[in-house]
Amino acid sequence: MRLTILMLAFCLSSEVANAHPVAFKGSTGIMGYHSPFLTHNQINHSFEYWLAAGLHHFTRPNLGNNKFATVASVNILAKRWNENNLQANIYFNLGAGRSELSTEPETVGYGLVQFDIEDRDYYFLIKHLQLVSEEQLEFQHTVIRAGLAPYVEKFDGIHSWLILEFQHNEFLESQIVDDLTPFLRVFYRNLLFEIGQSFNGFTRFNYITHF
Amino acid sequence: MRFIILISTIGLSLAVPLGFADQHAKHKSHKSEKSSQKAHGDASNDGKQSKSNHHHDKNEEKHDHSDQKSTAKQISPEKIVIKVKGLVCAFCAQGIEKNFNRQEAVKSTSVDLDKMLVQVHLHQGKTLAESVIKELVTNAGFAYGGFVEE
Repeated sequence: MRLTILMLAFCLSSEVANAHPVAFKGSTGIMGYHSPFLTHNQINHSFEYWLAAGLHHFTRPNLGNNKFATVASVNILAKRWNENNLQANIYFNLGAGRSELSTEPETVGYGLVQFDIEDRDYYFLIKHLQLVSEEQLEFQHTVIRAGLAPYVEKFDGIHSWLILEFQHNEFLESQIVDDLTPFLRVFYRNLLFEIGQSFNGFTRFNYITHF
Repeated sequence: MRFIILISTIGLSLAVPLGFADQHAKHKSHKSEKSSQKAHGDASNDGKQSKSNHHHDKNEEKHDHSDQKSTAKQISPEKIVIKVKGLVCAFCAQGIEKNFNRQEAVKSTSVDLDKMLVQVHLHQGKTLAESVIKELVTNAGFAYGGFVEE
């Protein structure tokens, strides 16, 4: 039953997940990002607290069902700072797969660099993701987000964050989408949701869980 | 192709001196900790054992006393309180609760984000070695900050 709910959530949701691509040892994370012009679902399994394997599926809903990419990746926590009142991380993802996001099906390489830092009140993240074929840059995606916790909750409480996110998306055919979105993030234990409405009018929904 | 090579190079060059170096250092310190624990008869992890190590010559006796003192401070039979560095996000901290609760000796775990403490309640008569505690904290993605007296 639990698995069914999780799989259903995975199918319904999507994400260029603004979460940690590597979680605690032995964990599996499912993340989804959805916007009208891009979805990204991913599932990651962490073999170590610094190493995970991921499977990603990208689509472009506004262009129909045949624009998608599927990529497998190795996710590495390159550096973590565990301090008294904050945590900061640098991650790299490297992978390969097939993409027809912009052109005919072709083999692509996948890369992601991410830095994030947070304490209990503030949160900042910057990341850059690329899908690159032998000859061209299929897709690139940059996210910068800053968050603020309106209240500080205990471990078992319902936590919420106000997040402002800037996104730059660039596809092969030079379709560029720059977008600024305020998000409300709510999470309880290992279930996290984000919902936002961008200044360009796009509704976004993100979902993350790990178990 | 160029991008992949570039990213690989950056990734490896950063990961080796940063993440993996840390990992290696942690592994080393873990090893040395293990060996020192062996040398002390795992005294810091089991009050009974530390008592049995008590009957030696005077020099050793002094050493055992200090061990016993720290044991008394660090571990009570039913509850262990641990300082965990980096414990700022409740979503990420689920792993620490999960990792501890998987242990046979552990009855329940509670996380205090305000004080960055993890309280581990043990089943009666059970103990948890410090090396295991440290490993559980590390595998959850945090840094072990030692025992805390409450």
